Amino acid sequence: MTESNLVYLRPVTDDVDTGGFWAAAQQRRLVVQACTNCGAVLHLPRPMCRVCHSFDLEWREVAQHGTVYTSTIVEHQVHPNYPVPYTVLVIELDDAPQARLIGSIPGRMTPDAGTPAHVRWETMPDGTIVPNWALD
Amino acid sequence: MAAIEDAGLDPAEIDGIVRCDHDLVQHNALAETLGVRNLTYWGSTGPGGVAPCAMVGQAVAAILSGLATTVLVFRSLNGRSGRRFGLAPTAASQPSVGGGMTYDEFFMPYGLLTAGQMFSLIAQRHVHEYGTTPEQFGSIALAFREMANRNPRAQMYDRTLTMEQYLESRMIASPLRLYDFCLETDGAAALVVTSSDRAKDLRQAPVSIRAVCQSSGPNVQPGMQFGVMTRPSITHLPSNECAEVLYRTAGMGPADIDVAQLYDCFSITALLQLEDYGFCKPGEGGPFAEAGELALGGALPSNTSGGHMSEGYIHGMNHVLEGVRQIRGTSTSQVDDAEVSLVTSAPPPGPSALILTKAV
Ligand SMILES: [Zn+2]
Repeated sequence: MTESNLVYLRPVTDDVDTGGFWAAAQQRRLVVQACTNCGAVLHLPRPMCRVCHSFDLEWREVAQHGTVYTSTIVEHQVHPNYPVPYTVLVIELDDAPQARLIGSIPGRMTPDAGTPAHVRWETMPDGTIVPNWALD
Repeated sequence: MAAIEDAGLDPAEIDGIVRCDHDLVQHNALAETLGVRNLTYWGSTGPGGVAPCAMVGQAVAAILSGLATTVLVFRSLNGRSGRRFGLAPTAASQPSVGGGMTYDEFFMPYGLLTAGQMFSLIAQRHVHEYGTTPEQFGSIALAFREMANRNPRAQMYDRTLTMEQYLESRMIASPLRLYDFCLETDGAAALVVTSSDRAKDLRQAPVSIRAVCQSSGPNVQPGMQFGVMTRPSITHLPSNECAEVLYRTAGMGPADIDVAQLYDCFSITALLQLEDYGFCKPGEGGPFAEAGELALGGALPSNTSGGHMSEGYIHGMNHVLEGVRQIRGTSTSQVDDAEVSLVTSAPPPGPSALILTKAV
C-alpha cells in the first residue's frame, strides 16, 4: 500500500477544547479525553463531562488500533489538493469504541465493517504530525 | 409577497418574521421592503435545513404567546449562482481547519469535506447493517423524479429518470451516485402563519398546524455536522425522537399520515426517515421504497413536488409549501382525500417536523 500523504488541510492544533489531542499527536501518542471522576470517554472533547458534569478531565492514552465502522470512496473531487479517488474511513478505537476517528487512504476500497486498522502517522510539510489510519 | 397576497393580507399587517439562520436576508431588510407597519416579533433558527418546520414552530409560539398575530416565515437562497453548498475550503482561504467548537479538525484534514461525503458514510453503514442495495437507493430517486415530472415548477419537470440511467450515473461518494444528491437552486419560499380565528376571515381555506416540534435526541453532538459520526448509531437521525414527540402532540401515529414531504438532501436522508417516523421497521427503508410505496397509490406518497432531489433545493421550505398544497388539494401529484400531511426538516444536528390537517 502506498505511504503517500493525503492530509493537506492543516488541523487547528491549539484549540482550548481539542488542543490536548493534537499536542499528544506531536509525540506520536494517541489520546482521548476522559473524565477522571467517572471514567467516561468524551469524544468530541469538551470542557465538562457529559455524564457526571465534572470538570476534572484528562487525556488518556489509548492503543493505536481500531476497526472500520464505515467508509466511502470519494469519486467527485471537491478540493484541488484532495485528488480522487480516495477512501474515507471511520474508525472505532479498540480501547474506546465510543470515540470514532477519521482516516483516509488513497484509492478505492470498501472494507467490511469490523476490519482491523492501525494508526499511520503523517508529517505535514510544516512539521505538524497527524494521526491517519491504514488497514492492517 | 405571493404568500401574503395568497392569504389576502396587506403586507402592513405582518407583525412577525421568522428567518433561517443561513439566510442572507435579514428580518429588518425584508420588513422595510414589504412595508411592514410594526414588527413585534422576529426570530431565526437553524442550522440550515433543520430550520423550516422549526421556523413554523417559532411562528406558532410567537402567536400563542401574544408576541405577534401574523407571522411571515421565509427562506431565500441563490444556491446555484451565489454561495454554493458542498464546496470545500481551499488552503488559500482557510489555511487551518477546525477550532472554535467546529471540531472540523477531526474530520476535514482527512478529506471528509462535505455533507454529501458524510451522508455517504451513513449510507455505507446502512449497507453494512441492513444490506441496502443500489436499486433501493435508486428507487427513492426515481419516485421523487416521477413527482417532479408532473410539477411544472420543478427543475426536473421535463427530465425523466430510469433505473438504468440511475445505475449508470457517476458515483459521487460511494454508495451514493449523482441522482442520490439534491439539486442546486436559486429560489425562495414563504408562508404566513396566523391564529385559527384570524385565518377564517382570509382568502384561502386555512390549513391547520396540528403539531410541530423540534428534537435533539440524546447525545446530540457539538459541531456543525461531522460530529454525527460519533453518535452511538449513525443510521438513525434524531428524527426518531422527533417522531415520538410529534405523534404524541398530534395524538396520531404513522398510520394516520396520508402524504409526506421528507427532507431529502440525499436519498439516504429520506430513507432513514421512513424508518425513524415509523413507516417501516429499522433497516426496511430500502425494500419499502423499492416496493413502490413512495409513489402515488403507495403506502406513503412522498415528496409530491419532487423534493430537493427533483423539484429544487430551498432548504426544506419547499417541502412545507407542498405539505400545505396537499391539504388544499392543489398539488400536481395530489393524493386523493389527503387529510393529514407530514413535513420534515432534517439534516444532522436535530430535526424538526410538523403535521398539517384540514382546518376544523
Ligand atoms: Zn464524568
